[in-house]
Order: sequence, then C-alpha cells, then structure tokens
Amino acid sequence: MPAPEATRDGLDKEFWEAAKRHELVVQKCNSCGTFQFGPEWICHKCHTLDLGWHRVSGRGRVYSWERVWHPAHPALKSACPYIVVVVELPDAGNVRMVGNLLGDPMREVEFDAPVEAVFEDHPEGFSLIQWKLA
Amino acid sequence: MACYHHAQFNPRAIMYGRPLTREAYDESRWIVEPFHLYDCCLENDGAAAVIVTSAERARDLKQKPAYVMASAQGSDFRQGAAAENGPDYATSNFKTLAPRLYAMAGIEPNDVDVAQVYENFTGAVMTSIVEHGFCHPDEVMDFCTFENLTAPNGKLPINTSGGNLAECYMHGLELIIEAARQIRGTSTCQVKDAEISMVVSGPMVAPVSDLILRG
Repeated sequence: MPAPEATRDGLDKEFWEAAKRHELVVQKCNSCGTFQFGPEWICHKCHTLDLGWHRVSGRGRVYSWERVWHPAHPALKSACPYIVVVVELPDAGNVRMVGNLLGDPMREVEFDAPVEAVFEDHPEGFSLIQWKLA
Repeated sequence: MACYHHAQFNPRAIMYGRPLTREAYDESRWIVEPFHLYDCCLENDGAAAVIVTSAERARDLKQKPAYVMASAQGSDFRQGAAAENGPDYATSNFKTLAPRLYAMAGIEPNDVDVAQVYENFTGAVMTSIVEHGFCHPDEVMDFCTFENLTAPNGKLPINTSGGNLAECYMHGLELIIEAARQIRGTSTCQVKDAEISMVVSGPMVAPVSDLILRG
C-alpha cells in the first residue's frame, strides 16, 4: 500500500512532521482562534489566511466507530477485522480525527469512551496516529 | 429488500432472477459493521444517458417527455470540510436542499408518487427519506417497510427498477432514467398514474442534488 506523505502543496506538512516528533497538532486560526481539520488555506470562521498549528494533548473521546471486515486493499487482508474510530478532541474545539483503535478488534466500543493518541513509527520514515482506550 | 423485489420484474437488472430472502440478507457477510454485503451497492460496467432539451423540442420527439419540475444542488454548513468534521455528522445532507426543492416545484412531500433514492449504502436511504419530509425521524423504522416502499401500492415506492443495489450501479444515472420511465408509464414496476416522480442523489457527500419530474 502506498505510504502516506504530506501533500505537495505543503498544507498538511506540519501535521506529519509533528507526528514524527510524537506530537499531535491541529490547525488553528491565528486571528480568531478557531480550530479546523484537515487543514485548509482559509479560516472557515473569520476567513483570514493567517493560520497556524497548535499542539494538543492527544486525549479525546470516541464520537463514532465501525468494525471493518472487508479488505478494501489486498494489503489489508491480514489486518481485518479492525476498528476505525472518529475521535473528538475537546481541547481542539471538538475537531474530529479518523484513526484505528488498537487492541482487541472484537471489543465493544462505547460512545464517548476516552482515548489517547498513539504514535506508530514506520521504517519508511512516517508516523501514523492511532488511538487506544485511555 | 424492496430493491431486490423490484429487480425481479426488470430483465435489465443485474439481480434479475436472483431474488434476495430475508435470511440470505441477515446471514450475508459483514463488509463494515453495521453494513452487510447486501447493504452495499453493486459494482458493474455499463452506460446510461439522459437527453435534456426544451419542452418545445420535446414535443416532436418519439417518447413522452418527462418535464423538469425542480432541480437543486447544494449542501449544509461546513459539509465541504473533511467528512468527519461536518458539524452535522450523521446527515444525508438534504436538510437545506429539500425545502428549496419543494418550494421550486410548488409541491409537498405527500404529492410525490414515486421516488428513486440513491443507495450507496442502505443506512443513509432512511436519513434521505426523513430529510425529504416523508416521515418524522422517530417514525422511520415504521415507514421503511417492504409494503410501503414497493410498487404498485406502497405509500412511497422507491427504486422501482432495482436501484443501485439490484438493477445496476451507474452512479445514480439509472435512477434518473427510471424516474422518467415512471412518468412515461414504461417501468417494469409501474406506479399507477404516476404524475410526480422524484430522484434523490447520493447522500452524505457535498454537494448533493435532487430532481423532480412530472408528466
């Protein structure tokens, strides 16, 4: 499967760089303080172009989840089943992120269950953000 | 189940001659929980086309025309953000569009005789039905019964050719064609005297679109 990489336009470069440092960052407007993710060129609230990145705790809660049984890519054949979660980040304006929930894939997942980010380093030179129950 | 039922009358449908039982549906493998195999649309090759022309030119054409009563495209606030960050996460995305569509057509939901409702996955069909005012969210399980959703006598027959689940997956274009057939009276699951025929596009994306045809 192709390795994830920052987009050529550099918009999400800081996110991937931070992940390598085991830091979770979210885009934040320097003008009005609004968080947004994935990163955009313009603040959706006040429309300024002056955007930066803000380090957050990496703690969140499960907003939604699903259990995947069908490998959408051959490389995922041995990975199924696995659980995908949408995680809400209370310290980043409740912005949400998608990731895998590590651990027993057959476990029951509760809405609002507390989770924390796990940084998974890959030899190809990138780090993925996964989640585990806190 | 309604889609597979309708496909059994449609010789063009991929699932023609391959009826689906409730047991086979329940026992089919998971794709992504909560969706089983038969909750997901087909994948197939194919082609479809629609001719759009003026009412004046349509008069001289061989087929009975279906007139565009209303068509609308749009989405809700921030639905252009990454899918997981739309503030209204579980919407089909028709909450602002559907009222605009009905206003344009000058009709109410209960005026609709037959609808083609895009099913990439079954779950969002229910949300689409609710957001188009066919029933209240609390009533959706009672509304979405086999009897209500099937032609010729259902309250709101949907996907009368078999739809994305059982006719073919032409990315919804086949739904527009079926909506026109209902106006012409040439559907293989014809709704009697269908005058107002609706098409609801793929849900949960931005933008979404709607179409209402009339005879």
